[in-house]
Amino acid sequence: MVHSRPDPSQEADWIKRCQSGETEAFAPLVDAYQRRIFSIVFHLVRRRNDVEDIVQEIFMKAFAAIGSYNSQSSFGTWLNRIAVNHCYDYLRRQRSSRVSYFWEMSEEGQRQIESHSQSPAEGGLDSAEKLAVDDLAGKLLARAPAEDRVILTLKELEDRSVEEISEILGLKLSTVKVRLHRARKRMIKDFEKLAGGTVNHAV
Amino acid sequence: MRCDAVRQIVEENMTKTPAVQAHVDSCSACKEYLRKWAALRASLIALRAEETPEPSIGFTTRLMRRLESAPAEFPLGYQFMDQIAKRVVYATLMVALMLALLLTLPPSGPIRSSGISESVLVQNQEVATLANEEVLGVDGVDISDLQDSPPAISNTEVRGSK
Repeated sequence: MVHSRPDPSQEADWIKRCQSGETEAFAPLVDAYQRRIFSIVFHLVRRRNDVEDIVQEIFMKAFAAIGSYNSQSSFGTWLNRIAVNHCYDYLRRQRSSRVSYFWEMSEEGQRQIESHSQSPAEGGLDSAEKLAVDDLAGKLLARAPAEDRVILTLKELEDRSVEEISEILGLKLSTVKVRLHRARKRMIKDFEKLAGGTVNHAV
Repeated sequence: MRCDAVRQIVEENMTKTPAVQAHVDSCSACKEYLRKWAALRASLIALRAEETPEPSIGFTTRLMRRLESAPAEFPLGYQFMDQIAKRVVYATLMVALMLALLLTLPPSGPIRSSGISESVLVQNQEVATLANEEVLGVDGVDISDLQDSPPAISNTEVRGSK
């Protein structure tokens, strides 16, 4: 995932001005980071219609807390941390709800996934079976506990390194690795349960 | 090598060292687990291709308007409010609660009849008695006047002082 980053000295100036109470200086920061935050929120929450409201709340929180930003981590990481924590709370509140499955995706998304599934089959899956597994991944993420969902999304969907995840979540590297492994194990267990005979046979 | 360690290594790197490969080849449970994870991982990665929603036109303007129109909702001192002011409010509430309890409790009872207050009362009574004795001894008050004196002063003590 490629995101254009603003010039560090320019960014530091915007942050300083925000910290001294200049609200307008927050606008360029929003412009610089909004796509990145939209992406994280969409991947974590997977409710297309809620994303914009959630992102707005995240930026409101960030602005309110900008006085506490002390440059120990990059502004992007700090903002990501606020976004992930906000989504984590959101997911815990929405625990019983279900997220976007294949049939709820945009047409473009469906086309992309279909073309991905039609690419040469991995591990002996034919295209129809692979589509079933792809569809299942969304379901499994939706069913996963918020903690698993956050860490798996950051790793597999957002393609963040273990180091980045440890910075965002404020956890040790070893803790991130252990939590990732646990989340994968639980997902595979759930996969076996949810997939039943058909997909199990396909895999 | 333990199965769990092997699985974690393969999950993280998706590559197999000779030792890991040897374990996987000889362990059908690990082979099955890793096959499932490979399929799941591929399908998770496929979700990356989903189109991420774009911010609608005027997103930043709307956000800035909201920030400017609601300074009280999210003031700059939010962190201070969150961390310090809440504690001050809780402490004030506790003090108010204690005061309310003190005022509403009955004047007698285990709290009011503490050892300290009792001893103070007894001390005061003794001081008053001694003072009366001294006064009576100096002035030579007639015994008939003492008939109406407070019960704290006994007749024998009065006679003795006389």
